[in-house]
Amino acid sequence: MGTAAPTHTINSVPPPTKCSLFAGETRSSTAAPLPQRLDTRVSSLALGVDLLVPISNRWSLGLEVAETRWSVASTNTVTPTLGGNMTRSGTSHWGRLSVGPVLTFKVSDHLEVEGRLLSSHYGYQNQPVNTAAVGLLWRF
Amino acid sequence: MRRSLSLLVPLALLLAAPGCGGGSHATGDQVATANQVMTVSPDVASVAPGQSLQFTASIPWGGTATWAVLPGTGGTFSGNGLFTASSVQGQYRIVAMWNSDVRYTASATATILPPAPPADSTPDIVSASGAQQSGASGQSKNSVVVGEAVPARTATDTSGTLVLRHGFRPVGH
Repeated sequence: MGTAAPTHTINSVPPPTKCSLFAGETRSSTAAPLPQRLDTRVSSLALGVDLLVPISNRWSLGLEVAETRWSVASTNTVTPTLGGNMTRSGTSHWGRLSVGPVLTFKVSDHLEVEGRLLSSHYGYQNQPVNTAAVGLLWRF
Repeated sequence: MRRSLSLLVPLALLLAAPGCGGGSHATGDQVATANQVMTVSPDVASVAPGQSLQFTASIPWGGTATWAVLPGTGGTFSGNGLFTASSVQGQYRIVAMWNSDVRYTASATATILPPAPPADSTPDIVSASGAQQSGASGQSKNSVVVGEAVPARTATDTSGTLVLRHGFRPVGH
C-alpha cells in the first residue's frame, strides 16, 4: 500500500537573483516660472525566497519575500522663463523589502511559467511601487 | 537537487512606480510645482551689483545642493550657495538641485538692482586749497580736491611767524 503524497506542502524555493530594468519615462511641464523636464529610469536587483504551496499537479501559489535594491537614474532639466537652463543627472539607490504573491504553472518536468506581483517602496519619501512580472523557469 | 533558471527580465512590468510608471505621483517626482519638500531661502531677494548674498537649501534628509543662477549673466555661485551678483541688472531665477537625488529642485527669485548713482559734487563751492594736506609722516591725508584750486599766499605776522593763508589777500596787504 503506497503512501499518498501530501497535497499541500510548502516548498521553499530560493529564486535566483533577479535584475529588472523598467522602461524609462519622461515628464515635462511648461508651467511658469520653472518649466522642467524630468527623465527617469528605474531598475532593481532582488534577492529573496519563494514560499510555494502546490494547489494542483501543475499549479502552485505562494509568497515571495525579497530584499530589493532600487535604482533611479534621473536627468533633470529646468528652463526658467527668464532664460537659461540647468541640467543635472544622477542615480540614487535604496534597499527595501519587497513582498508579493507568486503563481506558477508547470508546463513540463523542466519548464514552468510563473507570474509575480511585488510591492515595495523606494526613494527618500518611501514612495510605493508595485511590479508585475511573468517569467519562464527552467529546472534542470 | 534541481536547479532553476528564471527568465524574468524581459517580461517585468512596473505597475506603479511614482514618477516612472503609472499610479500616484509623490512630490519628489512632480515637475514644475513647488514640491513642498525642498525649499530655498530667501525665496525673493534684491541685491546690488557685485554684492554677495547667501542662499540656503533645506531638505529633510540633509545633504548639499548644486546652485545656478539663470540666465547665467546674473552672477556666480560658490559651492555653498553664496551668490555674487553681476553688474547686469534685472530679474533672475536661482535654482538648487539636491545632489543626493536630482529629482528634487527648488528655486527663488533674485533681482539685481540698478547701480547706485554717483555722490553729489558741489562744483560751485570753491575749496580752501588746491594743495594736499600732509600729515607729520608726510603721507597724504585727505587728498580729495573738490572744485577749483585757488593759489595760496603767504604772509608774516607781527611776531615774524610765517602764516600760510589760502586764497585770499588780507585787506591792507
